[in-house]
Amino acid sequence: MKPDDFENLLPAYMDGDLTAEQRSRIEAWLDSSEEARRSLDAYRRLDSMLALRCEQVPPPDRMLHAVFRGSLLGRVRVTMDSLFNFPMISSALLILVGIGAYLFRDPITTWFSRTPRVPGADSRQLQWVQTAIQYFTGADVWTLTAIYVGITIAILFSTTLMLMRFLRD
Amino acid sequence: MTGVSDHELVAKALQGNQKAFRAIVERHHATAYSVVRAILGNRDDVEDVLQNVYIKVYRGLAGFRGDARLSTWIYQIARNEAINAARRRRPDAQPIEEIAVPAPESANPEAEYGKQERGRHLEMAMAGLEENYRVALELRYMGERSYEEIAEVMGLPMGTVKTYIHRGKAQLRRTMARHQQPVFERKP
Repeated sequence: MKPDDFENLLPAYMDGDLTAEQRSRIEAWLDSSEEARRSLDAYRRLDSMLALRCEQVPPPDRMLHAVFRGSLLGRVRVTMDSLFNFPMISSALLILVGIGAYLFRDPITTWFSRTPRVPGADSRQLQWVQTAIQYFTGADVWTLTAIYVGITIAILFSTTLMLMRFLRD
Repeated sequence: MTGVSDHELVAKALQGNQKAFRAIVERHHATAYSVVRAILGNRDDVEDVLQNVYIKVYRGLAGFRGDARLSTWIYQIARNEAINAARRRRPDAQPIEEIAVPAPESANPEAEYGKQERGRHLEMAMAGLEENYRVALELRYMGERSYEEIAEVMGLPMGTVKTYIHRGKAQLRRTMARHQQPVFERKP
């Protein structure tokens, strides 16, 4: 065998994985050659350096925490998505209804004026609020509708944002 | 939960027992970490990849039929995740040769610096190994697994695992000698 062949067998020699014959040949080579002993020494140092690698393994705590949090967040994320969709869809619907109501305001007003009112259905307090706003702003009923829609959208969005932040934290 | 078999832990984890899942992860963490490190090297996203591995293990436990050993199953998930992450390797990822060695802070700065330099050269030499050699070596030294366990996890005969480790070490020794590490130098 060439010196390189002997040297390649040194890791197996250190692990005790050689046959008796290979082992005795390696030992004879080690006895006769300074370079062979240096090689064995280098392998031993390499082994020590490799053995230190086990200290580099970080504990799994942080990752585990993320897994448990992740599994919970997985469910929350779906909820958040649906929450996010809810105001978007409802706002879009409200805007469409508002535009439709504005475009067909005349027939709707006529229809409402012909429709008999249910006694006691009107809230007196709401009428006062509406009258007060109209008195101070001079707004007509359609401007008020637009204001109501705007306020509804703002409330839906701000509530959703607050909820999302709360869940994220 | 020492002394409890993997299958018992899986059954408990499936019932929602978080302690059982924690025990599974703690038992196989070194293996998963070694595999991910072997494939990705000393990258800063190793822990993120490992986190994905555990999320997949957590979600996939219900589908684990027990045909293979749990360690082999986790090894496969870790290997696939690491390979996918390596494919997504960021273009701005820092090559291992360029990773700055922090200034030594120990009482013996020269010795500390030398140790860090040798560590860096070892990382570089490891990065140059074939994947199979690297995985086997990391499982052996970083994961502190026996040859038998490595063979089981990698699904290879024990003789093949030993060959990978011995050849890997021989290659490491040659590479480190080329990088002029005095300890590994060979006489001309």
